[in-house]
Amino acid sequence: MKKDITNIHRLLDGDAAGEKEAIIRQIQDDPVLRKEFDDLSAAVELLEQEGRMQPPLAFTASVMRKLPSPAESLAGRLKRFLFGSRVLRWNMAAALAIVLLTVVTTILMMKQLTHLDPNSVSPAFPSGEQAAMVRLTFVAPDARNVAVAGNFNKWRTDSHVMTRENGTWTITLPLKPGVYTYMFIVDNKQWVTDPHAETYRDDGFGYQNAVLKVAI
Amino acid sequence: MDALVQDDEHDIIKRCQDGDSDSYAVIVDRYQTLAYTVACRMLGDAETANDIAQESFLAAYEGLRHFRFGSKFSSWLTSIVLNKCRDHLRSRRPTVGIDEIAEIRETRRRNPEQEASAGESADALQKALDGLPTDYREVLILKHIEELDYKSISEILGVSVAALKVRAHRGRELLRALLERSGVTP
Amino acid sequence: MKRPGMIGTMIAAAAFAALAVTAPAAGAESAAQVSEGIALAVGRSSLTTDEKQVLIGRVEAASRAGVPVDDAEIIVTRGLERGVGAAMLGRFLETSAQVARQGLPVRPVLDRIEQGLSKGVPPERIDAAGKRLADGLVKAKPLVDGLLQNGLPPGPGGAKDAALESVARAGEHALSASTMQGLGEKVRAQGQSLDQFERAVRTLSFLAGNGMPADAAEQVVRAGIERGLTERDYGRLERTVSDMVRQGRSMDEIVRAADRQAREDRIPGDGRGSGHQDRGSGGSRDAGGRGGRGR
Repeated sequence: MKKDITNIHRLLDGDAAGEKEAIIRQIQDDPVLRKEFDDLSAAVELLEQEGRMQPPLAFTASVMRKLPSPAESLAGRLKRFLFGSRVLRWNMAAALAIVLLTVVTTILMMKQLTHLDPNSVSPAFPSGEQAAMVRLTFVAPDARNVAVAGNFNKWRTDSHVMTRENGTWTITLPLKPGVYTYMFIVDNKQWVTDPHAETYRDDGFGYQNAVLKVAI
Repeated sequence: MDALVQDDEHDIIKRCQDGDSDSYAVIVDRYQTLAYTVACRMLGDAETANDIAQESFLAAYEGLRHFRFGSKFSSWLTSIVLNKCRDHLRSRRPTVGIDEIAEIRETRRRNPEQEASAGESADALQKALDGLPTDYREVLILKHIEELDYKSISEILGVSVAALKVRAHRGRELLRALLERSGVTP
Repeated sequence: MKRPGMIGTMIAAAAFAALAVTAPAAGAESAAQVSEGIALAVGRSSLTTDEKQVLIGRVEAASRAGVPVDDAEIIVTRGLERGVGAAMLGRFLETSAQVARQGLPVRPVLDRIEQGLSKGVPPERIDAAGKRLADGLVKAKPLVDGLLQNGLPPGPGGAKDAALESVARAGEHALSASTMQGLGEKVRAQGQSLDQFERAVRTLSFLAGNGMPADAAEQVVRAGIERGLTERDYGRLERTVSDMVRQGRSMDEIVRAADRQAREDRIPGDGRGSGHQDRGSGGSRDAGGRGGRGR
C-alpha cells in the first residue's frame, strides 16, 4: 500500500516516465488509491492555479528608486556610449544597412523590374534582433481550417495556417521584439479575435485586433 | 526560449556591473512576480512580502559583481528571498500558548482579504500553507506554484533531490489534510 | 468585350509590364520601382488602358515618396483580387505617399489599408479610415515636436514614430490634443521620456476604446504616470479592465478598480486564471516619493 501511494507522488512529481500508464491504471482500479490521488492532486491544482501573487503596480519603480547611484568606471561609461542599449545598437546597424542598400539599389536597379515573391513574408523589423518563438492557440473544434493574419505578415490570410491537435489549433511564430496585432481567420471567411490575448486594439473598422508584445 | 533569456540576461547583468543601473529594471520586471509570490506564500503577509521582495532585488543588485554566470539569476534571487523569509519567520516565532493565540489574531488582522468574499479558496490555501513546516512550504511553493524542477530547487535550497522529494510528498499529504479541515474539499 | 484567353492575357500582361518598365521615372526622391507582381496583376486585370496607366503612375509616385514597393504590391494585388477599382487603389497609394512625403511614419497607414483589404471592408471605409489616420499623424507631429522642444527626453530610437502613431490613434477616440499635451507635460515633470508618454497615451486610448469616459481615463493614466508605471504595469491594468468589461461589470466599478490599481491600493482577490486583479501593498510607504525611474 505504501509503495502505491509513493507512485501517486511520483506522478505528481512528473517522475513516472515510462510507468505512467501502468500507475494510472492501478489508481483507477483501486477506489482507495483513487481517493488518495484525487485529494492530493486537488491540493496540487490549487497551488498551481491559485498560487501566484501579483505584486503591486509600480513595484519596479519602487525598487529602481532605491538603487544606489552608480559609481561608473570610465571603461563602463565608454562601453555604454559605444554600444549602449540594444535598441541603439540595432538603430546604428539598421541605418548603416539602409544606406548601403540604397546605394546598391540606386546603382543597379534604376529601371529594372524587381522580382518579389508575393507569398514570401518580409520581416517587419531589420535583422540584428533575436526572435522569440511565440505560440498562439485557438479552440475551434468545428473549424475546417484556421489561419492567423497580422501586421507581422501584412495581413495575408494564407501564409500562416494553423495546425490542429484535437479541437485546438496552434501555430508558433518567430517574432522579434515589438508590438504585434493579429486576428484568426476561420474557414477562410470568419475573422475572430483571440480571446486569450494580452490586450486588444481597435483596428479602425470596428474589429478588435489582438495585441501581442514581444519584449527585449 | 530559455536560452534566449539567458543570453540577454548575460548582457543586462554585464551592463549593470558596468554601472548602467537603468537596465536593472528589465530584470525587476521579469522576476517581480516570482519574488513576490515566494515571499507572500512563505509569510502569509502581503505588506512584509512586498518589503522583502524589494529588499531582495536591492541585495541582488549590490551583489551582482559576485554573480557567477554559470548559474541562473532567478535561482540566486529566489534563494535570497527565501533566506530573508526564514530570517523573518524566525524572529516572528511565538514562544508558547498565549503568544500563539496572539499571533493567530495578528495574522488575521494582517490579512484583511479574509473578510472579502472573493478569493476564498486562495485564503484557505494561505491558511493551509501557514500551517506547514517551513521546509515543506518552501518545496511546495517552488515545485507547484513556481513549477520548478527538482534540480533547480536543489540548487536554490542546497538540499539533495532525494530529501526534497520526501519533503514534497509529506508536504502534499499535510497540505491536503489542512485544506480538508478548513472545508476546502476537492 | 470578349475576355482574352489565357495566353492572350499573359502576352498582354507581359507587354504591359514592358511598357511600365520603360515609363520615365521623374522626380528625385527615390527610384520609382514597379515590381513584376504589380505589373502582372495590373496587366491581367480588366481595367482600361487609361486606368492602368494612371494606377501605375500612382505606384511610381508612392515609391518615389518612400512607400515600400512590397506594400504597394500588396495593396494593388489584393485590391484588384477583391474587385476594388483603380481610382480607389490610387487614392490608397496617394494617402500613403502624402504621409511618407511629410516624414511621418507610413507603416500605420499601410497596415490599416492592408488589413482593411484582407478583412473585406468596403473600400470607401478603408479610404476614410486611412485618411483619418493620416490626418491624425499630421496633427500629432506639432504636438510631439512641441513636447520634445520643451525638454521631454526622446527616449530610445523608434519612440518618436510610436508616439506619433499613438497620438494619432488617440485622436480617433476623440481624445483632445490638450489632454495629450497635459499628459506629455506630466511625463516630463516626472522625469520620464517620450517612450513612457507613448505608453501612457496608448493606455489612454485603450481605456477610452473600452468605453471609459475621457476624463476618467485621463485621471487613471495621470495616476499611472505619477507612480512610474512600466509597460508591464500598464499591460496588467489593461488586462484588468478588459476582464471586467467581459464580466459585464458597470463602468463605475471599472473606473474605480482601474483608478485604485493605478494608485496601488489593495484590492481583494487574486490568483492566476481569468479575472486578474492586483494585490496592493500599504500605500503609505511609497506615497511620498516621486514616481518614475529618474531617467
